[in-house]
Amino acid sequence: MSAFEYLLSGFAVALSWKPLMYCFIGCFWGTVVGVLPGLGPLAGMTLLLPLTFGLDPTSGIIMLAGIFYGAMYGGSTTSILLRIPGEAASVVTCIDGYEMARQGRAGPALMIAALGSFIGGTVSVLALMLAAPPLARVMVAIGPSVEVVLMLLALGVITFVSGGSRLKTVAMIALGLVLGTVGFDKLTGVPRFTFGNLSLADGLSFTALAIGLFGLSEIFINLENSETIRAIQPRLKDLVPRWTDLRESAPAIGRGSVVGCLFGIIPGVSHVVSTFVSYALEKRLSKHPEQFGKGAIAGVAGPETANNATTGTAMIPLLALGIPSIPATAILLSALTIHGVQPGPLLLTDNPQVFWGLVASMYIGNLVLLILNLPFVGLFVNLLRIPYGWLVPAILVISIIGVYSVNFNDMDIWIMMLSGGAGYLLRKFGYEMAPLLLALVLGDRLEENFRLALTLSGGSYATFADRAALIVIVTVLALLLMVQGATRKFKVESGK
Amino acid sequence: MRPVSARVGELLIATALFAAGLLFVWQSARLPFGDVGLPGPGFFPFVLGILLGLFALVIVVRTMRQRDAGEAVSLGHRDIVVVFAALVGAGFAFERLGAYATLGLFTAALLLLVARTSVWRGILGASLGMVAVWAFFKVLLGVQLPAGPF
Repeated sequence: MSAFEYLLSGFAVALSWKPLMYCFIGCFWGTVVGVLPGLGPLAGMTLLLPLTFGLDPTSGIIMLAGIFYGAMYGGSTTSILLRIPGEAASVVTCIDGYEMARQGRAGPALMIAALGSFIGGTVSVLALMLAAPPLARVMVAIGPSVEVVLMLLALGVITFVSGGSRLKTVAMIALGLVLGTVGFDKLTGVPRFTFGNLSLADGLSFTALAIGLFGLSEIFINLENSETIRAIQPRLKDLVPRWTDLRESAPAIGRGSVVGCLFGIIPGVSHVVSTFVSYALEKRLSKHPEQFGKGAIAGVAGPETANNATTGTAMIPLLALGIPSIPATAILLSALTIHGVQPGPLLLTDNPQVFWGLVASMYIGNLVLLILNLPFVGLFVNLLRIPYGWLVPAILVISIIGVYSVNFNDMDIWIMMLSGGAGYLLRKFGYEMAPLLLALVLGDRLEENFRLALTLSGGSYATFADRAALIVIVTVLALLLMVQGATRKFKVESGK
Repeated sequence: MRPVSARVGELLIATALFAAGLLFVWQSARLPFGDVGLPGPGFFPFVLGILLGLFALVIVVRTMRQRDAGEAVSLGHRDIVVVFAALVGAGFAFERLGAYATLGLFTAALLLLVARTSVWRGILGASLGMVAVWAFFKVLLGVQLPAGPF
């Protein structure tokens, strides 16, 4: 079958009623968590992760992916109307988006942000569709040693691009990796750190830990500053942008798509970095750089396009290599694994309906989000009027039932609660949860491949420095230098 | 909220991480270790435990060497304590009392104490919430939750 035929079969899957309904639910919930400050895509995904267990793998993964890219759309709304970024990737949009809103031009800013997000998201899915299959074919040939190098590099890059203390980040990685060793050893069957408790045989529940570390700790932090907010309310008729807005935005949207697609592949906080780079690029190329910070529409169009353009390409490492590069794809990996689907080079041959169904659903999801985010922008903004105290019981009840229903064991509720408390304290003192989560997901596979590679090489550590591994290392280092250069340039140009 | 010195907090967290590292080192030393060339099940957690302990120790030393105590960090907001206590209660009661009774009480408690609603609104909200939970999880998704003694 050709790629086009596969895509058609993907659309046949994605357009059947069940995946379509879950795509809509994912996009809607994603927009909601994107709009609500403090609840980002990660918390949104982890909170609904247990609900996917009752679904078929395709519907489950389509819903989670919908939350991921839906949050990118929703995040722009509060940035523009309130100067409060709904999530980290919308911080840059606050600069010019809110200025436009203050000048009575919230409508065009929202419209251009939604349009840019749609175009960026669609281009990104196209890149995913074209890049993942050939990359997967190459990866089938690689051995466990290169896989170890790739995983170590992913963790290394997370440390490198981490916003906080690098020492704390590596401590979190070590903690995540060591927690990943709890349970029966996969190669020998020896129980480790289970203390005779059979419910720990499969290890600590990832769902309980993820919901605790991300969802619960986020709720605790939000409870400290839960205020009802008043937003600028745009009217539907004001949404239509002027011809000059479209003319000024078009090149920014084009460049934002390219920047986002490239940065999406890089592990770490790619979607956040891409927005900064896109903003710096637009400011540099603009004929009127002095307008940036005072309501330049290109300052909204570029970053909003870029953050959505990372969503598709961020899935390339997960779907083609089986290695999540950002926490959101780590959650997707966990969902797929629970369903018995192993992401990686063999996904396209063993479960093509999952891969192509997801690709097709992302095209559909981007369209759904465009429709959701324009006429219903007022509805989403009104969500901010719901007191946070009312949302908390609803979110927690879903979390408790979701966590319990994975193994039907109340110990998972305790794990969620304790990891939530620990996550809250760690975050208060500047420890990031993303490296911990990534290390937790990668831990057992890293160990398994590490020991397998050594067994195959007769105990020689030189196996981790063979030709393929070196090519991977050099490529990743080059990408890192690119990110560092681009980020530094942004900081210099924006005076930060 | 209770302000805690950043320095004290950093030290406590780093000490907890150090203790976690030691625990893993101690426990993994009792597992088959293998050797460096062909590691056994105890090798990986042993090395990671040492690394975790080392990183934590460096954080402790760095924090101790800082002259200023740093900005105070506010901990223990009243609502957080209430939510955490309610979660502990839910953890104890979930299988013993049944899911619907436990979550109903949990929701009512949070509506009263966190959302600060009136008693009647809290009870009504919790009851409607449990009907929604039953319809969504039991009827739509077929999730069997513990019924308890009822």
